[in-house]
Amino acid sequence: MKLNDLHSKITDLQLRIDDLMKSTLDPKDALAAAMKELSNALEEMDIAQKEQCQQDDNLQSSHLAVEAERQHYLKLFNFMPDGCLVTDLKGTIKEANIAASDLLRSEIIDIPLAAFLKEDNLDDLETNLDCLKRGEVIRDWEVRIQPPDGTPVPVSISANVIQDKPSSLSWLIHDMTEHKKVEEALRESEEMYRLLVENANKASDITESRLAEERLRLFKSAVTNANDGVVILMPDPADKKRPRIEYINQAFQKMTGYDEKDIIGRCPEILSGPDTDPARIAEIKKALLNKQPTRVERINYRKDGTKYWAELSLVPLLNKAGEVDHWVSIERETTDRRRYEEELKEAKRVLHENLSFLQRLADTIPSPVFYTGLNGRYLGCNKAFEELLGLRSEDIKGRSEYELMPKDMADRYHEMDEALFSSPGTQVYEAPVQNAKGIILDFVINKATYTDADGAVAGIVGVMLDITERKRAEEALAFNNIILRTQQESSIDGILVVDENGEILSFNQRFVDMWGIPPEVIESKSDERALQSVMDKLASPEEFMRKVKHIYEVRDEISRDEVVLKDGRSFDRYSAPMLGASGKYYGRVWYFRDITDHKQAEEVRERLVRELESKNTEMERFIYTVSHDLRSPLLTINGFVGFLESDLAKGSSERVKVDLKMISYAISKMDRLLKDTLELSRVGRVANPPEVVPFTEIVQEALGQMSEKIRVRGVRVKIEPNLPSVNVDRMRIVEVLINLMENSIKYMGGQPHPNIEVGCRLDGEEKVFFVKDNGMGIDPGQHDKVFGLFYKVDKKSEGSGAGLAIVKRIIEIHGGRIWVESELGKGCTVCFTLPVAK
Amino acid sequence: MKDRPAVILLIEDDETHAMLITRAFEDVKISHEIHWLCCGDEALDYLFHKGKFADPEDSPRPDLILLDLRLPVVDGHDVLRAIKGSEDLKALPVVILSTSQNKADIAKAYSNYANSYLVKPMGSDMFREMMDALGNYWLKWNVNV
Repeated sequence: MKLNDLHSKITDLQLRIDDLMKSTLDPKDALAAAMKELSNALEEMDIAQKEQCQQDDNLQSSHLAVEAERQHYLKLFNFMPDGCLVTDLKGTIKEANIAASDLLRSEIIDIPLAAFLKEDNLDDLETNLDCLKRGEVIRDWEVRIQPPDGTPVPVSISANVIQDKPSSLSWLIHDMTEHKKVEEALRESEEMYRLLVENANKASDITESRLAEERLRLFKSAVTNANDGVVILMPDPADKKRPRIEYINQAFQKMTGYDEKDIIGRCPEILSGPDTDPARIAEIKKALLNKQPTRVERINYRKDGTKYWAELSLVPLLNKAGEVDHWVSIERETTDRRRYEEELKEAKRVLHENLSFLQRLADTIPSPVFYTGLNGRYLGCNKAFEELLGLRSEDIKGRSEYELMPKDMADRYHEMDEALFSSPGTQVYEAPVQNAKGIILDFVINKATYTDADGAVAGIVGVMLDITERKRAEEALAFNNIILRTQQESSIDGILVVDENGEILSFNQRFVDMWGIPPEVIESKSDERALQSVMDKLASPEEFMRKVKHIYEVRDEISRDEVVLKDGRSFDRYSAPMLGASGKYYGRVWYFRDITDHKQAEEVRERLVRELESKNTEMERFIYTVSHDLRSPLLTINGFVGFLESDLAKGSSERVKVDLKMISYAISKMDRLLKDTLELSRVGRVANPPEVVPFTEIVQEALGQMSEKIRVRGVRVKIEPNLPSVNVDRMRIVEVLINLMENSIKYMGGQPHPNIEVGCRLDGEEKVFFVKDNGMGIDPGQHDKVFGLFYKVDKKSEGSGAGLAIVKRIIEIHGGRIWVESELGKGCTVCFTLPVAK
Repeated sequence: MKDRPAVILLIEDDETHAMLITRAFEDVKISHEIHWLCCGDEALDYLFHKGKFADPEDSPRPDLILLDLRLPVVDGHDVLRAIKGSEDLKALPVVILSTSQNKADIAKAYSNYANSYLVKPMGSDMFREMMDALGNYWLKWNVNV
């Protein structure tokens, strides 16, 4: 069954979600897969639902067909000219048609047939009932029926067991009153005739013709006006065994269309035709031959050639010699009855076929089906209903809901029945039903009233759909939805699901918050409106719209992009289509992840990596420089110590002096190098807390410390007014300025008017401080080298060459940059940046 | 052998090292004169007869160049490249005499066609030994154009 499939789908989905919760996979892919599964499950749910509805419809129309057949059958049954009864095996009347009711002239339902019979017929009835129970058919049982207040009615009864209902008997009661009347008249006339003939034998032959006349007159009086046709036959004088027609009454003329001149003297074969059963003809012939009365129903032909069914009773009138004098045939047209019988038979057959087909159909329907009468008692049901209650249909029929289910359920059931009866039509509701095992199951109960032939409500037909599985599936689905919803809401991603028509199917709060979508926009469920509402937030809205349009057009596309917002945030945008198992496109899922922090962290990381790399390079250079430069004075010391020894041995005091000078020189160089190296490393390790200082103050302090040198060289120092305040390690920056200005003085060359200018300029938005001189300048090829450790432009100059390396380090520790702008012979400007106080 | 003393061009920024080398060469039994220059640009002026060395009399063609790498303004590598890049000078034997044992320096020197690479040794005896071998090899045994 579909529901089982569905349930296993849901179970599967459940497992996947469990996996999902445990999994460390990218939740986006897994969530997309789960969403897809969910939509598949929904699709199948939908199909299952439709199939159930289809089944309901089939059942409903089947019921209507049965009802139509039943109505037809009832009509035939009711309008049959003969009385029809249905009794149980004991002969208690259960159903009666109009003719039967007329005949018996009383309330006859649930009254035993015996009540309408005379005592002396009761034994026959018992015998007949026994025969019927054995499956035999009773034919032409002639009895008199005694209505409670009225004259007895002679009837001929045929009866049989109803084919598809072995516990019921069908009785056909044919009113024989007219027939008997004719027979009575004949019997009387026969008696008269016999007396006459007997008397005639005593009288003369002359009386023959008179007697004949008298006889005819008597006949006429008896039969002319009879309702049934009467034919009197006489043996053909030529062939005594062959009868010929002697007389016909008016009823016969009317019935056959023959008048006397057509038929008198003719053989009765004239009434036979091609469809007359030869067996019936033979039967009549045999009776004629055996001089016995007979009753036959056969097809006759009228004068105009049309057929009709006739029941005829043929009675031979014998003379004293035992010869047949006349035959009297009483005929009644039974075409109508025949037709009704045929139709009834056909209707019964069709009804039976339909009923058994419908019963089979109903039995194959897995949903319980039942119908009740007006009193709410069950009249029938299918196998599924039997199985549901754990009872056989015989045990269900005739019972009420209170006898079959717990009171509270029956109350509900009864209440709904009452409601339906008071407002006939259809009714659908959900209700729990306890099954045979005592398990409460959920059902959708579809009920409808059905009507009898008169259009009056006759009962209720109901179909019950077991929705326990569906409910369970729905609950599982609801649970899964909660899981998905919770997952969606707890996701760090903003999630948006849009269907194929651009309607927003689902979203999480994170999505709304990230994009700042107004509530009325998100409530409108319009993706277009949501898009429009974020346009002014995007750094490049046109590009974004173009990409979104493209993605909606190319449905299969899985796309990932980065969206930059005006406020500086960056979103990682991921979009994937939702495709059903059959490849059906349901829409699209969008994920937005705020990667602003991530990107910033990435940038910081990259910057740190770059810095680290440059520091590494610097460190390598430092190690190289230190190892090289420190080795240098060691070599000198070592070498001259050796020379010193030999010079001392030689007693060359002049040389010894040189040796010692070299050694002392190397030692002081070494000392300076070590001090500078230590200083350089200290710059990196020890930092005073930064303070906000006006830059002018720093310059003044530096100038204060080197006023002597400035005075000696005669340098004019110009300080730009209104220099900004900086947030720095004051001592260090003073050191920087001293170092830079000393360099300026050191490399003034032969400048007759040495100038130093300290100031700050604006490069774009950046404030750049500078120390500018009009000294000898630096060749552009040397600009980077000057900041290298122990690098000296002029080997003869003082110091170790570590000054600018230390300056560079101080500036860098403050997060600034330092560079040289200079050309040889055109002065030098050293520029640097520092954190400016706000 | 030439009848004049061998000319050695010593390009060395450290005065004490220059003194060391000169003293160590005193024991080499080969007639020689050492021209000491303390920076790269001076050395190039000498070799290409420019500036104050415009007169070839002041800057005789050297038989051996002893070159330090770490020099101010124009460093030893640049000097080496200039010599070996000159049709006129590239045949001159250039021996690198440096404190640097840095592999990059050594590789760079050889890729610029240095004829030899020597690391300044510790101690006067070692210096003497090295200069003796150097002098003998390049000024006595080695044959040049």
